Amino acid sequence: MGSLRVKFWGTRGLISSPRPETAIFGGNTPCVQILYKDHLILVDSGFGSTNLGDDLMARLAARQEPLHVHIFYTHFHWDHIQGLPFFKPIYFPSTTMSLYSPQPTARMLDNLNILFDGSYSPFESLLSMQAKVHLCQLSGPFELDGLRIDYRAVDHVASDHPGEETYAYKFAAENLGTVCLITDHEVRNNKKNRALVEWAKGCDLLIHDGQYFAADYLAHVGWGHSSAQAALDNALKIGPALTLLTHHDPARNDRELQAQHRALMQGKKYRRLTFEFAREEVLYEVAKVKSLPKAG
Amino acid sequence: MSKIMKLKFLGVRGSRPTHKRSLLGYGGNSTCLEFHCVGEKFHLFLDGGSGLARRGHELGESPTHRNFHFLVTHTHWDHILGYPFFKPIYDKRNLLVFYASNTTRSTFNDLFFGLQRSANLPVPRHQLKARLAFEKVAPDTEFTIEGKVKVKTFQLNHQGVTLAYKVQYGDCSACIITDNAPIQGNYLGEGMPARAAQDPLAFEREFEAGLVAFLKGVHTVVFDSHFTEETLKADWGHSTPQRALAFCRLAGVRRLVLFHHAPEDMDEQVDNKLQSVFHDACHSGIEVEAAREGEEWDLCG
Repeated sequence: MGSLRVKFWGTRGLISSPRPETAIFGGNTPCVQILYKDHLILVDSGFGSTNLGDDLMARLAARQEPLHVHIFYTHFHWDHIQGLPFFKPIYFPSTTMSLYSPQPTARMLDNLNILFDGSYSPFESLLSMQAKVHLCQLSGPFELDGLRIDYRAVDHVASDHPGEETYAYKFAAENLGTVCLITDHEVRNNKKNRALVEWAKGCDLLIHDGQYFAADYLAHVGWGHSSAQAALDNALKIGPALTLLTHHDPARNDRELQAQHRALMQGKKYRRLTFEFAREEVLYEVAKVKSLPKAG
Repeated sequence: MSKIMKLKFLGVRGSRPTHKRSLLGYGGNSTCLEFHCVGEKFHLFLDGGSGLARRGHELGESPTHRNFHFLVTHTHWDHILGYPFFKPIYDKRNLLVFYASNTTRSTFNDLFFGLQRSANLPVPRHQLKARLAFEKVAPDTEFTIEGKVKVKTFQLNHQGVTLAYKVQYGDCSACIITDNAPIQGNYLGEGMPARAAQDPLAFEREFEAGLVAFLKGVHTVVFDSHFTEETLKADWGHSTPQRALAFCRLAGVRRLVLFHHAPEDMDEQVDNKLQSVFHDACHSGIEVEAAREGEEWDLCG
């Protein structure tokens, strides 16, 4: 039968925030693992991915097992890529790394290669690392051993380069459920958000950008991130069994996130939803939605 | 009144910031140090790893002073990734001065603005509203900051042109050796293979004697001890507690602070590193500590 689960290796947006006050929700930059059969599937390679990489070393050493790691990139901002040169399996010729994005492979290489530039690191190029690295441009939905993967552009800050967008991902496994990740997206009353909501409808687990509290958001309109409230407004329309808010602001500590969660739970508006602020290294089961809640 | 300078550790990790419950005792932020010259009207930092971002948040909209000086050791990620997240850089009332080396490959100026590459950071360069000044610094040079703080440089055995800094204010002094590998048959710094070509042993002796002379008589030495003697990979550019102590003994320093903890090191491993040199340090009259994020030390007395 199997299962579909997710694990956050990094929940923090912008920059790492390691301190005792962030020990519960986590302090590493974004990386989400999709646990499906025996595959190693990640969304983004922020510094959180390095902790997974360290864990995989034990597997490499004990079983001499070749690894095949799949990484799906939402976009190439520092916080979503910066762990890649420190992801230890990349130093082993037995490792294969497939890196996916809807961007042309030449852009992907440019955007990742700066991490391996000899002035910023002791390396020369992503392609001269020991692992076999494959860059793959996505051109529509595809299937990986029964897992259907789809993507959709979100509302995030554009780069100077025309057509360079940020993407949400959807992972769907027959009979097991569907996960939608919308990690860098600013909810606004526009066509893009409405289309995104339509696309995400029917997912069982929704992971959504909720970097700000409502009051902070007012000072950050146009920065490409959502308030927890706006994320939950989207969740009400999408109707998942569980919503996980992520990309926590580096300035927020555990106590503040817990207080915010309590405040949101107490209001009437989000009573129909089950939601949490995502925590690092916790396994979340994808539970099937029994029936869609009535639109209210 | 004698002058007082203190040193605060804002980030003690090497390679990358890391977060795990079992290492937060020493701290997970990457390299950033702050010197506090009591009574002076400027801020002085060494490197801008992730520890700098949190300090910027603390300073907020109205920092104590408007002048910020940064001693830059080199441009590997762990030492620079915090700059775009340092709030005072977005306020036109602030002045930030960077003292940094260039390599034959690139200038610090270019690499600094490279952080603003639009596909990697959604903040265009014109939003850095603070006045920015870049002072080119070579190895073996001396300069002063705001006419008050004496600074000397030395090229370390690490990739590119990585600088060690000696910082003196009144009777207070510290040397910061963030990244340095054993030199024996291992020439990592720009220009070093050429200098070693004629007579490798003479070059190695000269390098080590130069570093000892640089550290001579300094109160506190902060020294790269990323590896243990068992895990040492010399060509990665880092040192061990034993090697750090050996230099400090020859130079007769008062205090050694182990620094640039490997991101894989949990609190227990850092404790073990400290214990591995504690006895020898004690018998050499050297106080030895392991750098802990948030701690502040006096650099004199």
